[in-house]
Formats: sequence, structure tokens, C-alpha cells
Amino acid sequence: MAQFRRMRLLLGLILLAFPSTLLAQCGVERWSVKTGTDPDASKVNLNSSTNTAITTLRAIPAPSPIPANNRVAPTETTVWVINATLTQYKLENDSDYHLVMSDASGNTMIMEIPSPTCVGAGSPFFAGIQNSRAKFDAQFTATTSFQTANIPVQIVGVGMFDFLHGQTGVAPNGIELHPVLDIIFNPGTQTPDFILSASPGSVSVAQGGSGSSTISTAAAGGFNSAISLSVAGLPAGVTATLTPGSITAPGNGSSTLAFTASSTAATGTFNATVTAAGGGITHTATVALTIAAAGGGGSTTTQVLGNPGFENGSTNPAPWSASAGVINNSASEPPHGGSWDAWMDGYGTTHTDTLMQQVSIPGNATGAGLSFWLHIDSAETSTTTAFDKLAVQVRNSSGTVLSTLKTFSNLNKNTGFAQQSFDLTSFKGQTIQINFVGTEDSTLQTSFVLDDFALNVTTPSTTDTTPPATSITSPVNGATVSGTVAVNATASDNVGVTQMQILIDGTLVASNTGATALSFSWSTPSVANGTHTIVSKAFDAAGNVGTSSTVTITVSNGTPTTSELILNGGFENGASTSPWTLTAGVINNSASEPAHTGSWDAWLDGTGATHTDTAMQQVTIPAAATAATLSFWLHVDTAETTTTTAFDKFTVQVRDSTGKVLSTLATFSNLNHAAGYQQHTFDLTSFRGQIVQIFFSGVEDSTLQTSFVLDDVSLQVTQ
Amino acid sequence: MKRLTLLLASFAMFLGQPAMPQQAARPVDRPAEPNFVFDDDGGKVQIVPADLSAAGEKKFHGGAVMTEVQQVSIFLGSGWGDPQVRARQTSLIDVADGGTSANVAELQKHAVKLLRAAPRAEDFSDLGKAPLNDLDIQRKLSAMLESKAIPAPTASTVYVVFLGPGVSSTLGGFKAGEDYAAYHNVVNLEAGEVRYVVVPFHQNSDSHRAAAVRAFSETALNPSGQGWF
Repeated sequence: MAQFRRMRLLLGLILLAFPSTLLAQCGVERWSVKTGTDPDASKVNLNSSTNTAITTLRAIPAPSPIPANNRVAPTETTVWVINATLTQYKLENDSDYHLVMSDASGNTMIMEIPSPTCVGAGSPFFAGIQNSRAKFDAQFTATTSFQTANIPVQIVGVGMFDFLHGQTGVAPNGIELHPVLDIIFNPGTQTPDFILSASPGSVSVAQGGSGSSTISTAAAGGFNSAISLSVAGLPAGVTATLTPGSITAPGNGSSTLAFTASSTAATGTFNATVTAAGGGITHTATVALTIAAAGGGGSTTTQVLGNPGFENGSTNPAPWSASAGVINNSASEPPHGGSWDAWMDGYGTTHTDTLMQQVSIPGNATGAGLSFWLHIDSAETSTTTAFDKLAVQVRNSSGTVLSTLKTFSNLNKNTGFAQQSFDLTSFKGQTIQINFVGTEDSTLQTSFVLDDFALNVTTPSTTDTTPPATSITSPVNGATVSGTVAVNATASDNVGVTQMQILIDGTLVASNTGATALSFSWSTPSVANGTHTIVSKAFDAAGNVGTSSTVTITVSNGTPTTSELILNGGFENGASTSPWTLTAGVINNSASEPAHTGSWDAWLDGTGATHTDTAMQQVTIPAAATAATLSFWLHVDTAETTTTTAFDKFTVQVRDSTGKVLSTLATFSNLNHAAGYQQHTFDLTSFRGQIVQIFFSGVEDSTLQTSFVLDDVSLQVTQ
Repeated sequence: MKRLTLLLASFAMFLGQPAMPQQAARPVDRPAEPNFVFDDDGGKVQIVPADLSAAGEKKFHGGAVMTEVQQVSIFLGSGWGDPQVRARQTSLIDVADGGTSANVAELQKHAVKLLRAAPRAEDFSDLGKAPLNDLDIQRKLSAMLESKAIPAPTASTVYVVFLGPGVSSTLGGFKAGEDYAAYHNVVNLEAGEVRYVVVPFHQNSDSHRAAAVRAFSETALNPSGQGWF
């Protein structure tokens, strides 16, 4: 199993090691939208899908213009499900699988599966693209020629308007499903079903307290139905809620099962049975609910780890920090619950993987229990020597190891998952790092697979009814903002802040755990000009929520203005050369070297002897500049006859205010001689916020003149 | 040891995947229209055939014609740095200038206004030995627009990309010199709709210019690729 792991990582290594002629090509036009790296990709709700038909999508008017890197809502922010017939398929040179789908009336549209190697980091579609590509490969072999097929399929994909280029099978309005996230061949012949799981599978609640577990469902085999959820088997004095109470079709999603125990709730361990029903199918899952006696006045138990089952996937593992390739959803090492796990090591060579999450345990905690599920498989055969090890550590926020809770090894290999538990109550009042270090020696792999964590912190419920205080520290209320704005929030609590959030116009845009400050870089050009609201929220372990005062700001991204920074750029002030700094004789209005425009130019060199001329002007490029473009017109004539050797040179540089060279933009020479003037442009945006010298230098060798004639120098700044 | 096994197994799987474009046999797919091929992302593209004498008659099937055109020349490849090669640029930077060819006459017949060519742009970077396909051209145009090395497109702009000697060109599964002498295409980028012509280098300067002027005029008469074939 393990020898097939991390194919994507290795593929990357192979691609680095082999010639570019073997590399897959990726597309250009709307590529970010086609693969989910556009700024609107997060607007696509992957937990919901809409059944539709080819005729319905073909009837949607095509937008005009079609944005290059943004989505047209709702068509391009919706996951669509279509049942149709696959009639043609082809591997395009941009590595897409180009599928032509047809309905019973012969109406066609295109659906495309990009190559996973062309999907940028952070795309929420990566897993779906990988999934659909693998399913297609298992059924067909696409080549660079169209092949015909006649097979019913169910396609799940995101809407995308393509530009009309005469593509084979294109809909009249250009609508496609691009990318395809799932494809099911002969959907009627498979048994639709869904998978139900609970994480954590055991919850401990003190009398008068509360606790929760996450219930997840995953559709399979073409299952496409809403799933209703219910819970039974609760002891007296305990109530439970499921939020939401149902999972929308096609059946992929999660719900929070929250338990609340009264102060007189029956103590002991009970099996709470969650029943999920949809599409004529029913499944149940059990959550072991332990009601503990109250320590006087009741308590609350809260699971404080974020992303405990790694179900956010490999592109968004936060708040976990993991070494490359650890977050896994391959079938080689299946998870304990859900779709993802953390797979450490398994290389069979000297290797170290790490996994860490930082949390705060409140000072008033009466209990803090860490649990997780661990599966170990190993190719080691020794029954006495621990060659490969997994250390479970508690570190402080600086990374210093406070305690090694346990070290597992190849000697602990097992066939399934086993739950591990540790008491962390002694770390109350501290911000700690739950840290795993997996080290493997030079041969024979050992895989440490972790999943479904919980850090249940129990605090006296009667002692903390105070919500955290939180505020937006910037921008200030009433501010007018533009461009990219830093939104900063802080929070404090009498016990401890467990989570912070920033919401803009009511939409969650940023969150963290175990911290008292949160920042978000807000790109305001992505929203409409006008007023917008910002609030922060802070949570504590007792479930108290504090909300900041609402900060109302005005977004005003006006039309960019362009201004000229170079003064006397055409040298038309003649002998009054300021603000240029020039060597003697450079300013010229003779007919020997006429100006590009006007009467004057800067004639560097042309002496036919060893000589250096310079021209320099110092400018300040505003920090707010969105573009800064240097341009000038240059004429080169020469008496040199070589076609290969640059004897006389003209260099264009950016220097700092002390004259230190920051960048050499270009070097021209006698080889660039031409009959007239040529314009040259350079992007200086990277120098914004700096005082720089635009520096031109002409260096001539001992014989045969070369003249570098400079005119109409411009540095235009847009802000 | 296992790592080597794993690496080789992975590479074998990589090679066993559906053939990448560079490894595949040349596609047999062609659109029904003569002198059209499928490009690298499945769209139709009008080409100037490698045999310039095999132009054939074209008929107008409707569709928009550009009302005015302005050539923006882009010279790509280190080969253009050779002064003798570079001297040829003069005859290429305004292919419609002079108005004597049949293609230019065709533009005038359809009242397409010929604007004076914009200043050329040069990029003498070494493009290596690997063929440059249409996706590479699109990426290059995108980068040059982003860096403002070339002016932003207007409704009349046609970027004419002249590839230097030593730069081989492919389009879909087709090769310059064997299948085409030039082609025109369109791509929509952040800067807007970008119409462009690609003219691989031709040793014969007359053929070089003839391929360019024909692709340029076909861009103006057939900008969406569906009106004139």
C-alpha cells in the first residue's frame, strides 16, 4: 500500500528532473476560473449541488463581457448535476479532457476535466478534479484525437462560460461544466448509497454542561438526495440538536450534534444513535455519550481543536501545520472517518514528518483530554527494535518541548485504528502546541496514520458567563478605504479566547483558534463602492460569544489616475537641465543628432574615443502606486562595423538615492544601431515607496564612435 | 532502495498515462472548413497553409469584419538579435503598408481602414529548442501585456508575433513549415480580447512577408474565425 503513496509529490519531483518536452501544458484563457484559483472560487458551495439539464443550461444568456478571472453568479458559482450521454472525448493540448455530452434530443455541451497537475495550490476543486480524472481514466483512454462513445453518465461540475472558438460540441452560449468534479458511468446500474460518520465518536459532558460531535455524510454510487438527520437514545435530562437538521442533495455535508445536559442529568455512558435517512436508504451511527457528575454547579465540555478530522483537505489544513504530503485522502491509507487523514512517514527511507496545532487551555479548566485515532502499518519485521518512531509531544508556543506524552513505533503496528487518549489538564492556563514528529530510518517503511482528534476541555459552566470582548482596531469606523486594506481585530476574555472571526457584510472572511488577534487582508476592489460593515466575534470555551461594535466604512476605488514623475523628460529646457544631472555636452540641439520630438535631446557619447557620459534624475515612486512604467526613446548610430561585439554600451539602471545600483534594466550597444528612434519600456512597480535614481550611462571605447541619443523620457505612475 | 522502486514505478505510471501532446501521434481531427485546424485548447483556428500558392478561394459566410486594424509587431527569439536578421524587421513591421498585395486589396475592398503600425516590441530572449505552441504564445502575450511591454489591446489591435530563426512553432498537433506558414487566433485575457497572428520565421523574406500579410488580412476579415473560409 505504502509504496504507492504521495504520487503527486513524486510526480512533481519527476517533472523537475525530466526535460520540459515531457511536461503537460496548461491552458491560459480563464484558466483560474476553469481550475478554481480565481478570487471567487470560495463562492462555489461544494456542499450543495443543483440538478439540471443540458437544455436548461444552454438557455442561460451568455454574459457580456465574460470576466477573465472572476465568476458570473449564480451559473459559475453553482455545482451542477447533469445526466446525459457521453458522445465524444479527447485530450486537448492544454491537458484538459474535452468531453462532449448530449441529451436525448441531440443538444450538446462541453464538460472538461483539467489535469490535476495544472490545478494551482489552494483550489477547492483539486480533490474533485483528481477524482473525476481518475474515474475517467479507469473507463477510457483519451488521446489527442476525438474518440466516440455512447454511454450514460452523471456529471457533477461547476458552471463556466467559455468564449466561442468553434469548439467541438460547444453550447450556443458557451456554457460548460468546467471543471468536472465527479463522473459516474452508467449511473443507473450502480447502487446509490451514502456514508455516515461521527467525529468524535465519544463525547464527555458534565452535568449542567454541553458538548458536541460532527456528523458527516458522503454520497457514493450516484446517490443524489437530501438526507434527514435525527438522534435518539439520550438519557434523561439530556437534549440534543442537529444543526442543520438535514444534508442537501446530493448528500455531501456535515451537521453539528450538540448535547446539553441538565444539572440533574443521569450520569453514566450512553449510546446516542444518529439516524440518517434519504433516497430510501437509512444508516445509523453511534456516539458514546458520557455524562459525568458535576463538580459543583455544572460544567461545560468543549472540543477546542480545529479541523479535527483533516476534512478541510490538503489545500487548507489550518489550523494544523503539517509537512508536505501529510494531509492525505488516498485509498492507500484510508481515514478513520470522513475522507481525509494525516499520514506521516511511509517512505521507507530516512525521513521526518511533522504535524502540529496550537491551542489554548483555559486557566479554569477542570479537565482536558486529548484523543485521536492511530493506525500504524510497517514493513519492518523486527519484534524488538523500534526503527521508526512517532513522538507525541506537548510544546509551549515557542516550540520548546514541555512533555513527550508517548512514543509509538513500528513495534506498535496494528491492522486498524486504535484510539489513544492523554490527559492534558496539567497544561491549563497555557497556550500549547500538540506536536507529532514521525521519524523513519533508512529502510522499510512505517506509516503513522492519525485521524479524528479531539481535545475536550471541561470548564465550570457556572463560573464563566462573561463573553469575550472584541473590537475592530482598523480600519476605524467611518473610514473611506480603497485598494487592499488590513482589517485587524483583537479580543480578550476573563478565561480565554478559543476562537476569533472577522465578518464583512455578515460573511465570514477570516477565523483562527487560540489567539487574541486576527488580521485579514481585504481586497476592496472585489466589492462594490459604497458602505460596508465589519464586525469581529470572539468565542470562549464556555460558549460565550462576544461581538464587536460594527465598523462601517466606505469603499471608494475611484478611477486610477496617472501622473508623470520625470520632469523635463524631453530636455526642452535646453541649457537649464534641472532636475537632470548630466555630464558636460550631453544636452544637444544640433542637427547632427536631431531630437525625437521638440528641439532638444540628450546625446551621450559619439566621441570616437574612450569616454563616459551619464544622465540621471531622482524621483520618488509613491507607495500607493499600482503601476510605474519607465519609457524613453533611444536612437543609436555607430561607426563600428562589427555585427558580433558590443564595443560601446549604453546602460539603463535604477539606483537608490545613494547611487547604489538596485537593478540594471537594459544594456544597449553599437549592435543595436538603427535608423530612427525606438521606444523602450520597463515596469518599475516593484520600486514603489522608494526614492530612486533613473540612471543612464554611455561608455565608449577608444575608437569608432557610437552615439546614444536619448529623448522623451517618461515615468508614468498610476495610483 | 524502496524509494528508487517507488520513483521508477511512479515514472512508469506517469509515462503510461494518456499520452501528453508532445508524445502523441499527430491528430487526424480537422474542422470541415479548409485551412482550419484545432488549436491547443480545442478551438478552430484559420491558418495560412505552408504552401502559399495553395491559397484557394475563400467565400464570405457572414460575421463581423474589423472596421480598422493596427499592427503591433512583436519580435520574439534571440535570432532577431543578429543584425542581418534584424534588418528584415523593416519590411515586416507594417505589412499592409504599400497596399499592393491581393490581401491588402481585399481589405480595402471591404472598407477595412488600415491604421499606421504601432512601434514594434522586441524580446530577444533565448526561447530554447522546445517547440513554442499556441499556449506558449498566449502566455507570452499575457506577460508582455502585464509588464506593459506592449500596448493594451483596442478594438483595432492585431498583435503580429514574428518568431525568430531557430524557434519552431506548433499549433494543436500541427507544425510550422509543414502544415502552416502563419495563423491567427484570439484569446481573452485580463487586458481584454487579444487578436494575434503568429508568423514563424521563413528563410525566404518574400514568403515570410507574404505569410504575415495574408494572416494579418484574414484576422481583419475573419476575426471570429467563422465568417470566411
